[in-house]
Amino acid sequence: MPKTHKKEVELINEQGLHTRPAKMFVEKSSKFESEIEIIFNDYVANGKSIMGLLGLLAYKGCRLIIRATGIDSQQAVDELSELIETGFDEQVPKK
Amino acid sequence: MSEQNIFISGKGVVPGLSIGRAYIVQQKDISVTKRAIDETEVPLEIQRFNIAVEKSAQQIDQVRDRIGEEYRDPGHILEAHRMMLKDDELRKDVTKTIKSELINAEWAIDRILEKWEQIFLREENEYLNERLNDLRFITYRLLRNMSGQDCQSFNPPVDAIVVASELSPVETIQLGRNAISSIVTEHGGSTSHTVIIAKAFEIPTVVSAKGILDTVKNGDLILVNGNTGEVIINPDVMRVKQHRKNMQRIYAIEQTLISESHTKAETTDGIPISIYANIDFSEESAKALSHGAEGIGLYRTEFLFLSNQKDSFSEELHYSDTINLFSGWKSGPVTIRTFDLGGDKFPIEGSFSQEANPALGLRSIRLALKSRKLLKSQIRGILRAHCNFPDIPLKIMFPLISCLDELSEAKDVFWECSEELTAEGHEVPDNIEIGTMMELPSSCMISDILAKEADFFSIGSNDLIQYSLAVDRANDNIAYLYRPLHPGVLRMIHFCITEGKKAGIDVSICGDMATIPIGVLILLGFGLRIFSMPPAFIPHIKKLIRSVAISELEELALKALNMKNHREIEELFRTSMKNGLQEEIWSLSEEDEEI
Repeated sequence: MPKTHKKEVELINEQGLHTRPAKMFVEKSSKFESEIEIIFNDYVANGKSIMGLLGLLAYKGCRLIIRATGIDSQQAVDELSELIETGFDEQVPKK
Repeated sequence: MSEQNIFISGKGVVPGLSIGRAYIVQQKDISVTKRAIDETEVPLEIQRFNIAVEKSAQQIDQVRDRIGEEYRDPGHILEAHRMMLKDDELRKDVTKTIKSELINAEWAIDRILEKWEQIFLREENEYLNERLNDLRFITYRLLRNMSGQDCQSFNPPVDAIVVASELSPVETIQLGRNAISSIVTEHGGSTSHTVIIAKAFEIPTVVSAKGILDTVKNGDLILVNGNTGEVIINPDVMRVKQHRKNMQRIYAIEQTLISESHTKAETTDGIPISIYANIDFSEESAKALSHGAEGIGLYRTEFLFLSNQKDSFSEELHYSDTINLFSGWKSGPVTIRTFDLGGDKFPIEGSFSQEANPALGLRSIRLALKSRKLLKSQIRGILRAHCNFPDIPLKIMFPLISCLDELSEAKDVFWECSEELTAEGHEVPDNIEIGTMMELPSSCMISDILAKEADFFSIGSNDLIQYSLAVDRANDNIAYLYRPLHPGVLRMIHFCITEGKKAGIDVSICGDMATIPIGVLILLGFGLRIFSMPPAFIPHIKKLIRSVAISELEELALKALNMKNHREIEELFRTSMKNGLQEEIWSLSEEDEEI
């Protein structure tokens, strides 16, 4: 019986789920066997699809739920939420 | 003969001047026709689609392989495009549409990408245009590959000026690898992925040059100014000469600037001026050194807090970050500012996330004093790290100090930390200076009083100007009122510098005013001797300082104090300081806004 784990995180990076962060997310999520979903408001996106992630139009400051189902779901949720919570290493200094 | 001197003005997005002949890149339109298929053709259509995806991905890979690892941003963009092409959802959608509606693959692609366009368009968002562009670029590539026509390959001659309606990132890379001298596009905005790539390749670029495609012919001579966005088609001989001269001059200046950035900034009458760097990340201390900084005048710790919200209470975070900062540093003072955040950005206990007026609310040192635990863990972390580097002169400063009480209270927190650490057996060096930011009109006007409590002043001109003029410079409606040379601002700064000097403490500036040539000249005239700025500005400002005499500036600055408005002051300096060299620096550093 596959396990489901989920976690709510806040998107803190300036650009929100823009191209580069979305790409980084998919690079990581694709390594897991579990099925991964990102939920924002009423939208549910396939966490392994860059189009899906971009289509969420998630911006800085919004809260997302990461939901993973499968044998490595706990690890997937941990690593993916860390990626979001650390702001995708986005080091873009602004004044 | 073609018409001469046609001016087109666009938006300069990658700085630099260039001259060359037009090479027009015209993307052929692809028309998509709908074709009904029967069920037996479904597998074939799906296969055609899959082959086009593979082929498109391969083309992107080829381009990716040919650019060096040092081009990180272009690399990311290409990888994202490739990922979009091979996206599972996209493939599922297209395959399903072919099957269920019995239509050809091209039509299905067109339909599905339109669907995604609608998804991106459903509400306003900042990156809409880039997303739509990315979508268009991959659609174009897919359809092109399905039509059996190869995507264009480019062969621009050396020094060509590429003119196009718009370029995709892949096209920009293919073109950029040739020795082209400039890019001018009819459409496109300053934030597109294409611009990021042009920047990485350092190709002077102008976008949104309306009318260029209607006016220019292949082979026309063009002058491009990537700073101003000005493009001149078929310029006359005089203009070409002038342009070439400017190019040579800028090149020569850049070369000297770089080679001279490590020489001291000493005025022509022999007064040494200290030039420090503003940094946002501890790793930047190396960059500061390479640009000729003699000290760190401002290390903003906000990014450290924001990128480690969970751990920001941890002393270890601040300890290891400060160790990192010191390890990359050689000698000269290092100034660390305690966190300068508003409750809106950084919700902690006791702060209000909803304030009617956050700029005047619980923020910065006020928040720090309210949340002492946080302030203490930052100061303790910094001090412990300093124990390992006792020879580096450390300066700690507090932001947004508005009165004497606040400064005294903040200093008490510092001493509390210092005593605790000593009691715990650490050897806290005793060469630490405690200073304050001068960024509120109230604190500037009590400079004489604060100077007795502070070891140094650091003028934060950006906030000082905003708070004194009641102008938010990010607000387009009133941004014109943001005037660094407002006599009211200058008088306050003058008072602050004078009182600081009278008390025998260091006064420095770390705001944008230290990057504006006239600002630097006036401040020198007021007696300021320490300037801190983003590393990129250091070579230019050092050069400027080496070309002026303090005695002359003191006289001008005194006059400026009695002038009616910023225009008169600007005029005074422009007319008095004019000579060939100055003008060059003037235009250079005004263009170089890289913060």
